[in-house]
Amino acid sequence: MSKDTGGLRSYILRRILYGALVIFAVVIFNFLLIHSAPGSPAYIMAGEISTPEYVAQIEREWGLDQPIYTQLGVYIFQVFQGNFGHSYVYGASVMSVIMERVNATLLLMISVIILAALAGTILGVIASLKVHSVLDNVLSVGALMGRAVPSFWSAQIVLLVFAVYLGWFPAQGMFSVRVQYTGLAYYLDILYHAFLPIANLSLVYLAIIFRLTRASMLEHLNEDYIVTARAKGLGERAVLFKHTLRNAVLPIISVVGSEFSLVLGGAVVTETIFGWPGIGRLVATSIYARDYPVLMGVFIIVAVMVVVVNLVTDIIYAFIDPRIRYK
Amino acid sequence: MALRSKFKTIGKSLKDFWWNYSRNKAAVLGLAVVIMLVLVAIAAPLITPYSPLSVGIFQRLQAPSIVNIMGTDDLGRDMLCRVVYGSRISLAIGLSVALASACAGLVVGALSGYFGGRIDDLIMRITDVFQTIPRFFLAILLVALWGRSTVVVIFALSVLSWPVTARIVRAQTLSLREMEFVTAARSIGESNSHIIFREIVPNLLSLVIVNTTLMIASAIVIEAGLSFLGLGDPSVTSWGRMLSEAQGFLRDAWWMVVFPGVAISAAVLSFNLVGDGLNDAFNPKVEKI
Repeated sequence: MSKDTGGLRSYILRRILYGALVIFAVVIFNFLLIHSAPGSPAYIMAGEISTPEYVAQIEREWGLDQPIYTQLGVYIFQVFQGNFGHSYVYGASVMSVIMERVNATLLLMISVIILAALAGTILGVIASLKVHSVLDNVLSVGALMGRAVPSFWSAQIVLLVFAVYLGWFPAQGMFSVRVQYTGLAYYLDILYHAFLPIANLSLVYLAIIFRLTRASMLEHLNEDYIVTARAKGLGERAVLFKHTLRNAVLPIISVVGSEFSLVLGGAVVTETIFGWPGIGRLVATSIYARDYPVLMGVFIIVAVMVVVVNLVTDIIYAFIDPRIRYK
Repeated sequence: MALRSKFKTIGKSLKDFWWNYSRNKAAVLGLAVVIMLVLVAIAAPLITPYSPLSVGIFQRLQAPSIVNIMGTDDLGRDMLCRVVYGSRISLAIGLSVALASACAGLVVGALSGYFGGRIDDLIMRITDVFQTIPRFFLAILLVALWGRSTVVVIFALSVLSWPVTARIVRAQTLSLREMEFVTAARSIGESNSHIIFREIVPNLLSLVIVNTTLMIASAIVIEAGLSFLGLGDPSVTSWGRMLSEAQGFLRDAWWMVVFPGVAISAAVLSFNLVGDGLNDAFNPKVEKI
């Protein structure tokens, strides 16, 4: 028993180290980008819309007249202190600009993961139990489309149909502008506005999780231990939930982690189209404003989010499947 | 005589391959759409008499009609013409990125898997990192900082895709390395480069072809996403940019949104179908679930 938890602890420790390596790599990428881009590093770190005096100030602040090793040291030191630079466009530190918007994006992301994982698994199980039925075929074709349709186009179509033509949901923003809600009504209003962005972002994830669940269920339903369980006289329900699903659900957990950065990428365009005030829309506006410090800051924060989600899914996986700890 | 019989063998195996491939009707449909897309891209000036850039030939925001089958946009340009010309940049970028990442990934993955050791460890760490970092955000940064041109987009997407190929090539090389034909080649004293490029790489090609086809699809999506965000060459007509221009006219002109999106989705879907079909045809023993 004690040996078992030791395996788990060292496994988690290794995953945390790996996550730290990824974030460190992202910081190095940023540094290399600042120095490889056309134009002086100070100019990149100031953003395109700024004054020469401001550029000179940035040069002093980040030691850009020092040798390159010193600059790298200063950069890493500053970033790990939470100083991602200053946004000239917003007149505030990059960190505060991002932190103001990060909750809106987290709300979308957490809802999307829960919704897509539940719905994808349920639909996948249903399709695998009625394989090659009409329902299975409809779902499978839908999943194929879900993999091919880019999220910015599906967002526009969803907005056009459900907000513009049918008028069921608001088209833009996170709050009703004309009414001031308080208490529960305030949160319901946010959920009402979040519905279409969440639905749209779930599509890609849903398609991936559905396909995987279906394939993995079909694979396990024919395995010897299932045949044995049935031969023992175990009911279909027990076979399904205790034996097949438990094994089939493993790859689903790891795909939630590995595809998370894809869904975050979709958030950039989805938030832009629905006017959702999160870090995705911040990226889009910063591209137009050529506000490079914000873009680099978002890259780091987003990497942290991806690493955390991967860590959580790794740990859940290790709890369900003890074999992984000894690899 | 020997040459002739060699051609015969190739012909026969192609025929077998097609027999396997054509059992999958969706893959055949995908291939038909891909061929059509390539023809449209090549023959664009023959299909439409207009230029995608000339403004104000027609009335602005006209609904689809016999003259303008896909309607006109906010600057009076024919939408059909723009969709047709948009296929050029999508295919050019998709093919370039997929080829570049296939070549780099094949060489790096095969060398890394064959020799192992420290270099292999290093390359695996690099591909690990590339698997986890949010790649779309890095692509945005690369293009925003290096300049909004087609060459930069191709370069950025290739940098981001080669580790995916390298990873699967390496895994396959590891198992091929232990096969009897490799041991046999080594025992008769063949050089490492002979074993890698004459014995192992030909056995990796089917894997790389499938992966390259799927890579074309994902490069087309990312390119469209970048142009949607204004990170494409401003002088080129692309499907992603058409969708971002349509954003301001969602209420007035559904045709500006629908047709470019259908084009992107059809292109991506058919490359995916071809990739899946090739995979099944290369591994006919695997029963299709």
